[in-house]
Amino acid sequence: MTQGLTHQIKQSALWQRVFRTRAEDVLPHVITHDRVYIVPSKRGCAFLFTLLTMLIASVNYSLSLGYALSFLLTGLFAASLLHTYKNIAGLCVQAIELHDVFAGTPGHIDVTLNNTQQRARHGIKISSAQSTPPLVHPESDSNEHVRINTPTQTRGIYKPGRLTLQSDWPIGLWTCWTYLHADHNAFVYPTPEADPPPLPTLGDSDAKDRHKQALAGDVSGLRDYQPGDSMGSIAWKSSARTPGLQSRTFESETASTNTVLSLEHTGLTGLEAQLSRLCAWVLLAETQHTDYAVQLNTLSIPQGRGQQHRAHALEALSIYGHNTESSDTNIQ
Amino acid sequence: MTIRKGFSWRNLLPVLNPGDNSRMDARTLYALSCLLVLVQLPHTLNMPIWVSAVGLSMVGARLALLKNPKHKLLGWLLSPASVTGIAALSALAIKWDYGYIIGRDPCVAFLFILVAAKFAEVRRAIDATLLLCLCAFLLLTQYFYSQTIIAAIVTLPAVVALAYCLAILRDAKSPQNLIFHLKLIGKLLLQGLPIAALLFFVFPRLPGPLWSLPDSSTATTGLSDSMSPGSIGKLSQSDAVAFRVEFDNDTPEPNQLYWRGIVLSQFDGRSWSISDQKFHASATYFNKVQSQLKPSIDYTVTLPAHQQRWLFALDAASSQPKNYNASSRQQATASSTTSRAIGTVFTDGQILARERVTQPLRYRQSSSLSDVIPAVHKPRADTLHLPEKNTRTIRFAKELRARTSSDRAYAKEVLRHFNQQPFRYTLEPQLLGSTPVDEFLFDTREGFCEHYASAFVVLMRAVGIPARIVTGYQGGEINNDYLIVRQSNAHAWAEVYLDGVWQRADPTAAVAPSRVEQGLAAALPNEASVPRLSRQTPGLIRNALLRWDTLNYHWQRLVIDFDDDSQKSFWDAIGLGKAALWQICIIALLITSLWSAWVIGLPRWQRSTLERQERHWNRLVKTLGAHSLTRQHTESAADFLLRACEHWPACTSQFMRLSIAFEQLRFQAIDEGQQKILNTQLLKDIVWLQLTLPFRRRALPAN
Repeated sequence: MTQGLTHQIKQSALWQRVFRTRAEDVLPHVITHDRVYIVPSKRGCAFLFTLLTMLIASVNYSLSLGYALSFLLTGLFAASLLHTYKNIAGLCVQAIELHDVFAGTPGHIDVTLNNTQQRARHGIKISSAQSTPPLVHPESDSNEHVRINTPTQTRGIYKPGRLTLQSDWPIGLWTCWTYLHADHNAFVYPTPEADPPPLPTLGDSDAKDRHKQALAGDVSGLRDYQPGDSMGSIAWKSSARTPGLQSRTFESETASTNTVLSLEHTGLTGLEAQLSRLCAWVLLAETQHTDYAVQLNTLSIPQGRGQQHRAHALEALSIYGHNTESSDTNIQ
Repeated sequence: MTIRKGFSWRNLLPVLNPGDNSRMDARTLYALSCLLVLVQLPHTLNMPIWVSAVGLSMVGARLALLKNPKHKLLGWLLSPASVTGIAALSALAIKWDYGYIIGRDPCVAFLFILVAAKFAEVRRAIDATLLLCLCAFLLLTQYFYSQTIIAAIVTLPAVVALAYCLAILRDAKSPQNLIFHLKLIGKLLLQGLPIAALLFFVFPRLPGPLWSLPDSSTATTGLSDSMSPGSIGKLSQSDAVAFRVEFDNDTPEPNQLYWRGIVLSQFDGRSWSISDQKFHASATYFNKVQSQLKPSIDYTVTLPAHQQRWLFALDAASSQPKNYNASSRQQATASSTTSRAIGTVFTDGQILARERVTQPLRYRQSSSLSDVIPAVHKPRADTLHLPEKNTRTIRFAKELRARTSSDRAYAKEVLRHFNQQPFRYTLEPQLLGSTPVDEFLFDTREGFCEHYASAFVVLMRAVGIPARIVTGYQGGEINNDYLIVRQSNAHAWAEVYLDGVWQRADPTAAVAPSRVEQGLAAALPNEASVPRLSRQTPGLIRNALLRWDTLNYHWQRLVIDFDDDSQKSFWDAIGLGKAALWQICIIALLITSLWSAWVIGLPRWQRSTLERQERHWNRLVKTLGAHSLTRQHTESAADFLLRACEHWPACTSQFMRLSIAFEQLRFQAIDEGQQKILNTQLLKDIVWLQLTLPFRRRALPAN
């Protein structure tokens, strides 16, 4: 009963308006006045208390100048309120960019702020719920890029959730903040196993040989550079003679292989350990320029390699076993 | 979707400014020390020297430690433990020095030490908050001692320093320099000024103290309980306000304004002092006052804290003084001796408050304007006592009495004597020796009111007529709707017991009638010791001083004495005298909104960052858009204008010209002069189009 009520409250428009718990913002997002909260900071509260004390003293001793001083400081307090507001209102959040990462390594949220107004903004901090130290936003009068580091622990879909932009400019007596909750997400791949065994090859027991072969990396020829080719595979010398970049092709690539990566091939029992090994294998296959297929229960990714293929495979690994509903547990 | 577990408010609310635990950097420390010194300096005038020394040296020591962080002795001395010790020792020393600790002045002294001690041990950035708050309060406490213009001016740099400290404490690593911050703070303070002024005028002034702390009896100018030759004259050289009076009806004539203060009847041959026996006035006394059937008037007296018990009332008081709020302008009844009375009338007409006036006091009083005080009982012996000192005077008195028929005639004769003999009224009489009355009456013949009053009383007592001295104030300066009585209005006169009543006799009026009718300046046109405000002789320096005094006077009147009365008259002056509280609130809100709009800047007021031609272009696109010719996103200026030509063939020349001008401005390297010409031409064409397009026929239907 109470749970139902709580649920209803959380679904209400007011709840969303106040706390922005659902990702409904669309970028670019201009921070408008109705989205800005301002409260006195701790120091502001102390200052306010002092002002009150000063006022009481002035009343008690009928100090006209005491009144004047208290009110002058009150004026300062009030003016700084408006400046705090002015500092953040009208700022435009141009873009939020997320990068896929492996679990355990810090993730990045790249926020691009666009200041369309003439005056500079100062001391804006952007933080997400999980981010450790919020970053101080420097002076800006144009586009400004801010990178927020957030820790990632488990594989899955990573949602940065609600971002908080806050500032206590100019004299730290008021703190204002605004929420930004846009629907952005990135994949957190499983942590690759540190020292994986060689790639399994279906129908070929001599996987070790193949592995060795791949490491030997006999160059079999050159072809035009394709996005996704590793730096090491670029043939710099021959690239210098031709207009575009040239990549070397390796012996192993040309050899027809049928590497299929599946949970059963890992020979491990725990799902996370299996996925971790599969992840390491995908990376290994990519460095070895070996075509590979991924088979996860019903999902199967055909043979291939390259940046897109790799991403495809890793994404499949990261969400394996997650249903769509539980994937947004990260939303705060 | 299920309710998520682990829901908490912590996740809903943002983490705001986690405390900065880092060590305080040098810049912040220097700024804080600057603030501290600025706050401390005005106090050094009022503190015992050792308190100032301890306070300032602690600040110095902290700075020395900053320069030389390895210094062992300083490090030990400024450790939290030893600083606490110093503060505790200082508290004991303050107790010993002042004699008490729970009081205004010792508390201020202790706060002074405390602020310095806090600064001495400050290590982390978050400690600064407490320090700043203490500083702000300490800044206020200097007004306990002085509220002059100078004091106000001295406060300003401290306020700026306070705001600067706040600004750099916000972010110790902020790259902005001092100039940037000062500009910012100046802007903030100036923008806050309207709000400060609004609050100053609107905030209700509560009369009277909320609580009172024992005060050290700081010597203030004013009447005292004794009078010797020269004491009133000295007082008359001060322009300080003694009290202010609002009359319910018309202000009485100046020569009726005798503000009775202290009755002095004991005489030792040189100085006069207060009688040690006093009796409370009973209902009989008030009945007697009222039976004189003189016009009775009601008024309100606003008395600044003068640290004495006496209250002032016009002769003769016909009621007990009542608290202004309690009486709420009701007719103060004569005989009522309710608990609301804040003081007591004595049989000699003097009024004493229940306790010393340490806070500005406002009381209601009624008086019958009369120069006669009823005598409830027979005059006591001390009103006749005369030391065998001023023998020449006594001889003269006896001779004169012998020549007159009655006591009353004798008193008149004495006044005539003062009037006709070459007596001079002056603030700077010659110094008198051991028999001052003799010397004054027969040798120097110059003096101030106390000389005349004292000589008169001696002359009366010499022939057995009871007489006494009354000191108080005479006259006052009418200022709009109220009367200001200054120390320069201080006066002494005599009262003689004739026909069963105490009759007022003012010998000064006999010598210098203008003193009583027009005030001190009129009676003493050429004297330097007359307060500067009263002097009218020209001169550059004197003029400047006069202006400075005028400024001080207005400062005092407008700022320092701005209380609930002034507030009321201010509201009256701007026509809102009858405004209810909610109306005032609405006005205040309105002003605040206007102020906010001014500070934030309405969007319209913000200058666009776009180039001139861009703004023109936007305007043109908007204009044509209003006529259903919307520009496609991919369309170039030239294409768009070509399309416009098709719509309005009659305007082809304008559109072509615009097209060329836009392209020139955008893509061609042309100098500024030419740009200006092109821009003007653009604007002309656009305005022309804006005005004429509504009347043009369109060649094609709108798409």
